[in-house]
Amino acid sequence: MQKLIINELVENLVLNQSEDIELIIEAEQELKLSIEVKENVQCSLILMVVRASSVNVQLHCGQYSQVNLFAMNENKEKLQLINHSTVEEEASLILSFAEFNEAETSIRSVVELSGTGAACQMNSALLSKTDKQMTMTIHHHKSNTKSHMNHSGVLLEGGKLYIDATGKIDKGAKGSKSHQKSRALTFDQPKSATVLPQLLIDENDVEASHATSVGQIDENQMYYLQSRGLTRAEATQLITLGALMPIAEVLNDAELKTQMKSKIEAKVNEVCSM
Amino acid sequence: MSVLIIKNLHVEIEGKEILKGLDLTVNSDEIHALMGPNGNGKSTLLAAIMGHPKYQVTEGSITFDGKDVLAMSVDERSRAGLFLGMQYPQEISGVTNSDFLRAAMNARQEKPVSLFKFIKEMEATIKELQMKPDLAHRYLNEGFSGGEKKRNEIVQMKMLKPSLAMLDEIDSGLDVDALKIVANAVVEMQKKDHLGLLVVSHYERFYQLLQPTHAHVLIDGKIVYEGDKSLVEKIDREGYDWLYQQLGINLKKQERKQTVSLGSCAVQKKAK
Repeated sequence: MQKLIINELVENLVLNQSEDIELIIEAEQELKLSIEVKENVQCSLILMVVRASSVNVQLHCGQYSQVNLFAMNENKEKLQLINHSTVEEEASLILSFAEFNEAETSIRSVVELSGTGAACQMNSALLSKTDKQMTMTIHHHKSNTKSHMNHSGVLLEGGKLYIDATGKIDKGAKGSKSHQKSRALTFDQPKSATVLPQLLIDENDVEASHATSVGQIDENQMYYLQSRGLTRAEATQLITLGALMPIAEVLNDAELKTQMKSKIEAKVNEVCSM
Repeated sequence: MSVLIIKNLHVEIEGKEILKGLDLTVNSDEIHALMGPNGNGKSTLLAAIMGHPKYQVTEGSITFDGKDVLAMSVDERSRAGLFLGMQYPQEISGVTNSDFLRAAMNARQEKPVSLFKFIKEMEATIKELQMKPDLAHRYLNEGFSGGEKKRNEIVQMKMLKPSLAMLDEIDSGLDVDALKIVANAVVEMQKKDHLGLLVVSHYERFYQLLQPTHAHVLIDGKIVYEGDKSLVEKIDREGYDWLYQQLGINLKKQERKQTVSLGSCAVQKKAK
C-alpha cells in the first residue's frame, strides 16, 4: 500500500486508476484535502490523523466507482473533522470513523447520494473517556439510492457521546432505502450519551428504518456469558469488544484488518482491566 | 464421579415462592428426566442451580462434589463443572462464536488452549451437530433460527466439557432430524464423559432417544412422584390427571377475575 504523508494545507488528490493509499495527516494548521475518484475506479483509502486540529475532507466518487474510506483518529488534541462526500450514479462509498484516542472530537459528515443507484455505508466505532460529537447526514437525491448507518459507542467514566444521525430522502427518490442503527453502551451514567436518529422523508415509495439503544450492559447477556465460565470483567470486556470490533470488518486488506483488531483489543483490555 | 445434591430447596422470584422444599440427587452416569405441567418450577430449578440473579434461594442447600454451590458466583459454578443449556439463549452482537468459546475455554484452564487445537475441535463439533461451517465466525446467536440456537448450546456443552449438564427444553424448536442429531450428540458425550444429566422436556420423543435412568414429576414447587423411564411413557400416554388423583392433589386454581367488556351488561354478568 502506498503511503502518503500530508502536511500541506491544501492537497488535491485525483485517482484515475484503482489503488490503495494510506494518507497520514500531520499538520500544524487547518488542513483541506480534496479527493476525486474517477469513474469506475476502485480504491481503499486509510486516513490516519496523527496530528491536526481541523481537517476538511471533500470526497467525490465518480460514476460506478467503489470507494472505501477509513478514518482513524490518533490525534492527541482536539480534532474537528469535516467531511463532504458526493456519490455519483451506481457508485458506492463505505465511510468509516474509528475513534479510540483520548482527545475530544467533533465530526460533521454529509454524504450526498447524487446519482441514481448510489450507495453509502457509514460506520463509526468510538471508545471514549472524553467528549465525542458526531453529526452525520446521508442525503438521498435520486431514485434507488441506498444507505446504511451503523454507529456504535462505548462510554467510559467521564465520557460523553452525542450522535445525530439523519437519513434524508428527497421527493422523487423512488425505491430508495435508508437504514440506521445506533448503539451506545455506558458504564457510568446513562445520561452521558445522546443519540438522535432522524429520518426525513419526502417520498412515499421508500424503505426506511432506525434502531437505537442507549444504556448499560444487558444483565441477561452478562448472565449468559458468566454461565459459560467468564468472570464479570471478562464478560464486560467481550461485550465491549463486540460493540467495537465489527468496524474492522470493512477493511479489505487482511494485514490492516488484523492490525486494527489487535489495536482495538489492546485498547479495550487496557480500559476494561482498570 | 460427580454428585449434585439438592436439599429442601426453597426459591422465590420477586417475592413469590416457586420452589417449596425440593430434594434431588444427580450422580455421574445418571440421566434424570424432570417433568411436570407448565409453571410448576422446572426452569426455576435449573436457573437456581446455575445462579440466575433473579432467583433468590431462601432456604435449603445445593452442593456439587461437596462444595457449596450457593456460595459461588455464576461463573464459578460453570468452572466447577455445571452447565445449563438454556431455553432462550441470548444473542450477543459483535462477539463471534469462536471468540466467545475460546474465552470460555481459557477461563477454565491455566494455560490458554492452542489456536490450532481449538479450531480443530470446534470444526469437529460443528460437523457433529451438522451445522453450517461458518458458525464459528457468526456472531453469538445473532440471527440464528430457534433450532440453530439450541444446537449451538450443545456445541458449547461439548466444547466446555462439564461434569453435570442441565438442558432446559433444548428440544423445543428442533425439527425431527435436528432432534436426533442433538440427542445423539448428548448421548455420545454422556457415555464418553460419564456425564450426569438433568433434562427438562415436554416430549417423550426426546426422552426416548436419551433413555433416562430416573424420572421426576415436579408439581407446585416439589417433586411429587419419581420413577424410571416408564413414568415418562405413562405421562406421555395419559397426561398428569391420574397423578393428581392418585396423590390427592387439589390444584389450587387461582381464581380468575372475570373481565367484563365494555358494552356488555356488567350487572347481568355478575348475576350469572
